[in-house]
Amino acid sequence: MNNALFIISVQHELAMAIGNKLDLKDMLKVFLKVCFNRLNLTSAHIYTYCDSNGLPIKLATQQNASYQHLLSIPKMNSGLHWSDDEMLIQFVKTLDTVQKNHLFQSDENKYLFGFIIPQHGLLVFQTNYLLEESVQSALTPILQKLSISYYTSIVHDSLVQEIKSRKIAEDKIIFQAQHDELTKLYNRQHLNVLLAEGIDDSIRNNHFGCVIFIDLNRFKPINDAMGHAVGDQILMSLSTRLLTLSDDNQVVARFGGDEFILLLKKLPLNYQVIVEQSITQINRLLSRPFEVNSASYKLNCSIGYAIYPEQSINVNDTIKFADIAMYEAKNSKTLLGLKYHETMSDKINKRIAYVEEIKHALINNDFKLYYQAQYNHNGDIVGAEALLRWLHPVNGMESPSVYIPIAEESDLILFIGEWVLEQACQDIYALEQIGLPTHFKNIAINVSAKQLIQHDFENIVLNTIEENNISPSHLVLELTESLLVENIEHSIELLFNFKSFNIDCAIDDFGTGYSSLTYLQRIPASVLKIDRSFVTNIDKSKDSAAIASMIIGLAKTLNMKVLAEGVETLEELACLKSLGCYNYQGFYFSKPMPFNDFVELLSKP
Amino acid sequence: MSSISFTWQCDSSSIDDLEKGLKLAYASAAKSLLILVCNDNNFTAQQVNPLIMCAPVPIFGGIYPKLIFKNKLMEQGCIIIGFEQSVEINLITQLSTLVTDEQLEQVIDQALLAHSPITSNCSFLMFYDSLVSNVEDFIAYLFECLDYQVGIIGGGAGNLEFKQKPCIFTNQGLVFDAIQLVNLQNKISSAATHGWQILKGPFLVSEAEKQNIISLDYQPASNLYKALIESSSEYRFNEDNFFEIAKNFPLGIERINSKLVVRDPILINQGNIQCVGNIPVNSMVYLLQGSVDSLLCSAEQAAILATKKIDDNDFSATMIFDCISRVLYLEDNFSKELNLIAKHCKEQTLFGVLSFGEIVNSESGAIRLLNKSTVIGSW
Repeated sequence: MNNALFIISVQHELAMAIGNKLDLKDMLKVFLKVCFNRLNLTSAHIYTYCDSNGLPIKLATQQNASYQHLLSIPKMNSGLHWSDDEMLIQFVKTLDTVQKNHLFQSDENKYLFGFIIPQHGLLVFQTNYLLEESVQSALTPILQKLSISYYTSIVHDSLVQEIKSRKIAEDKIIFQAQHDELTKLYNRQHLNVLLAEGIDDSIRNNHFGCVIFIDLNRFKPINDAMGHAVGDQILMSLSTRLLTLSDDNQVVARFGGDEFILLLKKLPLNYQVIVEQSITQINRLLSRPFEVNSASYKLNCSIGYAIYPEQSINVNDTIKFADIAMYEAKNSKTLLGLKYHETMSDKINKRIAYVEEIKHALINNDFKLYYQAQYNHNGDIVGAEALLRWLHPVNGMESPSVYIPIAEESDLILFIGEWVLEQACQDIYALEQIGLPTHFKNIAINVSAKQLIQHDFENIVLNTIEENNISPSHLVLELTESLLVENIEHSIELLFNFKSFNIDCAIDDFGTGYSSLTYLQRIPASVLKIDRSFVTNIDKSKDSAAIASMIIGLAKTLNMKVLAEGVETLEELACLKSLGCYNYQGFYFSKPMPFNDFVELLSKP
Repeated sequence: MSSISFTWQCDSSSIDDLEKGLKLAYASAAKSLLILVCNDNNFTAQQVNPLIMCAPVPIFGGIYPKLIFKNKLMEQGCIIIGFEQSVEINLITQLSTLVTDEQLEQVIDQALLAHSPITSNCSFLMFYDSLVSNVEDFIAYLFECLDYQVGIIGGGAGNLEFKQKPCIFTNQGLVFDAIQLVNLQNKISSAATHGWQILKGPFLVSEAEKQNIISLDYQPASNLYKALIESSSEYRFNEDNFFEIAKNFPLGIERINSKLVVRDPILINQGNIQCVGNIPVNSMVYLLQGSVDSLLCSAEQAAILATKKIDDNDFSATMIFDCISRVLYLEDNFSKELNLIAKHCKEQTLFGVLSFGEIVNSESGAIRLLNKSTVIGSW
């Protein structure tokens, strides 16, 4: 009688332990713990039937499925997880096969009892005594009840999982909407939101804020030469460094490309000190080189900033002002950071107006091509360089060093480049019609960086040559050494293509760009032009003579012609000749001149 | 092996004597120290902390109502035991703030991970503040996290006034609301017995909450309990004598195979019986009684089992965690219990404590909180 009472009490206690928690593992753990205490177990284990994703399932009638270890109390046995215990693995395998209560005596006082949790899994008790059959039978209705809670928990778990997944997806969408994909910093859109909040807050609470605009200097050449993967690594690394500046009142965002913004909120009246400290910190963060793929890249940045609400209470204007100040800092080549000032906008406006004038000049055909003849050591004209000239209606003859950099900042340089190409080809055609002297080889035009990376530059050149019906060999493209190096792989491919059409290439300003000899060897150029800085006073400067001599030797080795620019005196000419340079350009021979004058010069005996 | 290299004992309740003992211990070759102090010494944390916080070695132990040294019961005094090895001590404090299963599990995992991996050759001594309310949840999670072959013995420290005071010795001073697990890094041979026998029952625990039995057989628990005792003995309950009578009539929770886990009723609280240890709802309990002979016999049985050699190695120490209620029940006969235990200890150092609740592995391996029991361990 007492035994019957005991079994009923056990049943009650175990039944009460089922379904106390919703999470499957927690629910089963509570159950196992009560089993443990009540049945004096040595260890207890649950294996669960799973779907192909390893998630617990409810088996349909006759359905087979694989099972997985879910839970063991205690976790370990002789230093191993129970799930790795060979005896238990074998026992569970047999239990799964027989699909009914199963007993195994492992040694004198150790028993494994296996039970089926209907439609869900396998339950194993380890004891140091023989569990009475009456107790085993009493477990059957308990396991039926457990099965129902098991299913409830699976449904609950899957709902929890679904809610979690949805939450993760929502969080991801929110994150993506607010953050830059590459650097995981806030993006421009979210920065605008934060800045708007910051401006409102500053007005309400009578404090200040600052937008610090950071732009990496000379990042593009790295991106172009080393590839975007390297550039991206640097940007990510920089972002990690900049993030060290962020806190509740300092926000870091990527504005675009290599532009970042540090937003300083809740600044006091004497904000200047804090802003300057932040700029120092930014520069310090950049002082350590960026290590990517065992290479080291040293970078610095230009910084401009604007203060709100002092200078603007408008989001776009505040950012624009900081950008203008940054632009000014870049032009001034200062690393200290410049605060926006209205005069900077005036400067920008003037620049914009100047750009308009360049556009008008193109439309009105105000640009002209001048030609500076190139000579060999016998005094024969062997070619010429086409040089752009602009007779400005107000300023008179405008220096290219003024308008070319401005044109290069916008796509205007492409239009100017196309105009130069067209005009040069027309002039070459005219020369071909007149008849070129025997020694005359070609006319060189300068190619800008933007033209070089223009996707259809090759077609533009070839079409213009074809349309003007000139011999391609009469045109030479001059590219500066630094331009070539920045776009080395693309340049090599492009120049090879031109070479296949008989269009030659000259490397301009040679000696100033620190070219790698390995690259130089691969560039299919036929002329090296010694930069004028080495030619001026070459007869008086041993250094210049040494460099020129090295360039001449190099050209010889690479089977290239060498031409000295900027030859102005007889002494310079004599020196160059003595060093082995036999082609020249410079005022000593002739100045750049209008096409008609050049034709006349050519026709002189 | 955590062999004993230093033993010091004194019957004095003077703090100066403890200081002398500690100085000797610190100067000895001992690499770690077990400190046991009688509650009646009335040491305060202010007195003790300066002496133990400068300890050059790890220290552990507690303040217990009474101590045992060899076959002697100590009402006052101290024992210092020095170990040849530096033991690893896991101290878990602020137990009362660990209210969820997850918090307990996390704290135990972190405490165990902080030290060397625990192998089946490890054993633990557990000293804890007996007024920690969640000790059973703690040991349940501890068992989950440990290898089931890891042995453990221990007992609750404190005082008979049941006031929570700092009672656990640590290198950071005396602390309360804490559990200390000391890894001996060798196997321990342990046994636990109680000697209490069934008087009446079984009764169904129809309502209970942790340590409180609300109803038995659907009747108010205290009414039924008192009626049963009064109908089978000369004892009569009044407003003040509950514990005086109840110490003779513990309850036994029936486990499978007729095993009984003893629970000590200590007071009546709004008609509920409050025990030292949880009583599960729907479990079967018996009213127990003891006799001097049955209790002495059980204690000797524990000594025989616990001093049975492991792998023919001699033991260095035998430690007793004997329930304080046994001395309250046996009174003068308690010296016989100690003599019977000492009889089975040969060369090893015999010492122990009278505790509030005893901790030991059951035969199956699970860690249990016992009441009114004798737990003996040898290593």
